[in-house]
Amino acid sequence: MSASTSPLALEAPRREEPRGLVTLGVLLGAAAGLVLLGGLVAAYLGVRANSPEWAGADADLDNYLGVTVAVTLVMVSVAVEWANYATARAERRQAVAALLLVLGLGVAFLNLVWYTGRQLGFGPASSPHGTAVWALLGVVGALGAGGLVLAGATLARLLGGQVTRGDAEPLRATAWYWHLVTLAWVVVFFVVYVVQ
Amino acid sequence: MTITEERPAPGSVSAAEDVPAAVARRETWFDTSDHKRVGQLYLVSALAFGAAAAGLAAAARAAGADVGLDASPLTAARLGDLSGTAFALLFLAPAWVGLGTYLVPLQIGAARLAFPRLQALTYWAYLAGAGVVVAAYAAGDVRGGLLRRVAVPAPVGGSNLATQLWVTGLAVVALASLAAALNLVATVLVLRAPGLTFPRAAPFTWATFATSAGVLLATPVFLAGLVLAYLEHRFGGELTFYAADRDAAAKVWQHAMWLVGRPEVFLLGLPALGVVCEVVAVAARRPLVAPKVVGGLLVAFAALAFGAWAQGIRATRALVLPTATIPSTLVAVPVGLLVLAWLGTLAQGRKHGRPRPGLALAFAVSALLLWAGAAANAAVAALVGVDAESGASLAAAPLGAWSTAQVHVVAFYAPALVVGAALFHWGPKVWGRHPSAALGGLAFVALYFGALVDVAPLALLGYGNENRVALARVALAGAALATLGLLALFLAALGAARGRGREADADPWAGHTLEWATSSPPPPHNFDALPEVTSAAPLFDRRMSAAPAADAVAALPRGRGGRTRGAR
Repeated sequence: MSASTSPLALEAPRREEPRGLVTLGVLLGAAAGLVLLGGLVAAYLGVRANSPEWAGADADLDNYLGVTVAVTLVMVSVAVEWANYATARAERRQAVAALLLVLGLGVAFLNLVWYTGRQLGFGPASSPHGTAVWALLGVVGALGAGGLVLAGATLARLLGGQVTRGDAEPLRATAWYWHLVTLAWVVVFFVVYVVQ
Repeated sequence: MTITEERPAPGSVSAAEDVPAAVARRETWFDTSDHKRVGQLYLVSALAFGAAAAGLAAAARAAGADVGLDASPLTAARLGDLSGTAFALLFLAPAWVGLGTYLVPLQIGAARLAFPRLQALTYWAYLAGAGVVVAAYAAGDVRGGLLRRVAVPAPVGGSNLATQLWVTGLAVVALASLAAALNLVATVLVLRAPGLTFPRAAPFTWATFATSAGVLLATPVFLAGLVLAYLEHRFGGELTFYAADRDAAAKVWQHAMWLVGRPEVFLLGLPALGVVCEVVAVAARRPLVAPKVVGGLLVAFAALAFGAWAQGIRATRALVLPTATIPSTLVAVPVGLLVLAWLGTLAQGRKHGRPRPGLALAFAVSALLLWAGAAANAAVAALVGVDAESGASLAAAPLGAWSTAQVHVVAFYAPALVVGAALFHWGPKVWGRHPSAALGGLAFVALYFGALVDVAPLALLGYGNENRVALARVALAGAALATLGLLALFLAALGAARGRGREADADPWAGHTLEWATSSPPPPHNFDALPEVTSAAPLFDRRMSAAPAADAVAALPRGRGGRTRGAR
């Protein structure tokens, strides 16, 4: 008997590849991202509460851009669910189209976030309010960029036949991620535009 | 039943069905996704950084010891900053990540990590981030420090490259540790062998899981602080996030730092507790008493570490709670109960013979003694009313001398000793060779006594001793000795990795947990046959059931000269 096989080990049936691994990883990563966002929100609210002069009170922030970003993200969430639905029905072409739409809308989201920043009228160092707002926008943008990478990788796997009706976990994980990015923007919108 | 002397050649691939495709081709150290190789890379790099960090601490002490050391362009304070940063983020954290990366899949009976390539990526990211942090200090005046009251003071004359690099490097290291923690949590949750329920997991796996979960919660807050600090510094002017309203903004950084800093102090020690559990159990020749309770205590320690955030913030008094001491005190409860469990294990193990002395146990016990000393020091300081912030120049750190002594003992030297324990306990499994006992002995003596000689003068300074230069020189000697100890650990690991040292069997210590059920070093797929687990100590149970009770001890592997193997 080889020393590499311990006499104490028993023969065991071959294990299947564990399911839910990718989804779990994406959810854990997204949770960490939300904690990061939470830290920034706490910083924003903390400095706001303790500053005798808070620049955000006088900031003229136009809601339409924030709402536009929110609508874009909702459309991304719908598109990625469409991809899920199409995959479940083995409609590969629809799934590819849906993911391409996700990518396009994701790029539009990043563009909108950048444009929102440019339209703020204040820079990152103009005041504590400015620093916090830019930090929030930057983190949400980074989360969106991560979602683009994820969607791109999923699309590549779909085209390569690794995402199928029987194994659509990468697509579900991508969907979860984008839903959480949408949630993150809702939080940012509320803090920056409503609480202000 | 006998075990033949044949062993698969290191790195060879068996015909097992579960061999991943990436392993079937020849991998190099640069493109490996094998968790065992990534773990080794982490460990060796961490030990190298540890020796460097200790050397920097010695240099910082030298700056206050009037020994003619010209520390420009780096001031003694920045040497201390870099030393503290390197100890925590470039030595201890990666050492635990490396150990977890190597061991956790083996201890849970898995063939791999959940995301093998991600772990490899985290290693290179950690190395890159570490390089950027070191480059920052070489580039000029880093206007920040991990433990400063305000992370980055308002810049004089605009932002500078050194500070930007410092923040960026820390962010990269933090992201790497975050990704590694995510990987370890997912691995433990999903890839456990059949029958290995959570209560049956090994103590080190429990500790790694709890630590990783804590890191997932704490590190993002640190990253948030770094993002704000970077924006403040990069685009800084007169009115910046931290300068415009210093009290409010300083509170934010203090909260951010305490939300990560205080849990991290404890989280740096949590894997060490897991290692001590394993070493004690093997030394006692029996499994831990109440293993489920031990696992629960390790998780409770991680959870209570976050409660310690509620302690009053030192510098700004931004948050003072009348019950501030309660959360901090509660953290000690799981540790106390763990000590009882260890003592109980050793006592119960006497049925099988006296506890096996060895280097690993020596390292572990010395770490416990240091922690106990720190606890006693804290109690005495509370009684006599120590000014924790005095003597900062001698400590060459933003903290006072007494606080620096405590942090060095609790968060640096004691866990470093446990890293030594882990090295000599699992080194034979990792490299198939026993690390040099001579270097191990040197490391033990140098690190333990070096720690004592380094921190005692700092503590005395905190208690009001006025002999600053003399104390600084004694601390310098201690720090130099500790540096020698860490260097010896690094050389011991390197030697074993290069094939030097006595050849090791699959199970040289008669271990209890799954990692000892495979060869040393393990094959690429970890196990030729997936083990089935029916208890928290499967190998111990099998060993006991395989031989009559009277022969139970005789069934333990024997070493040269007929002695029971395990005399290290």
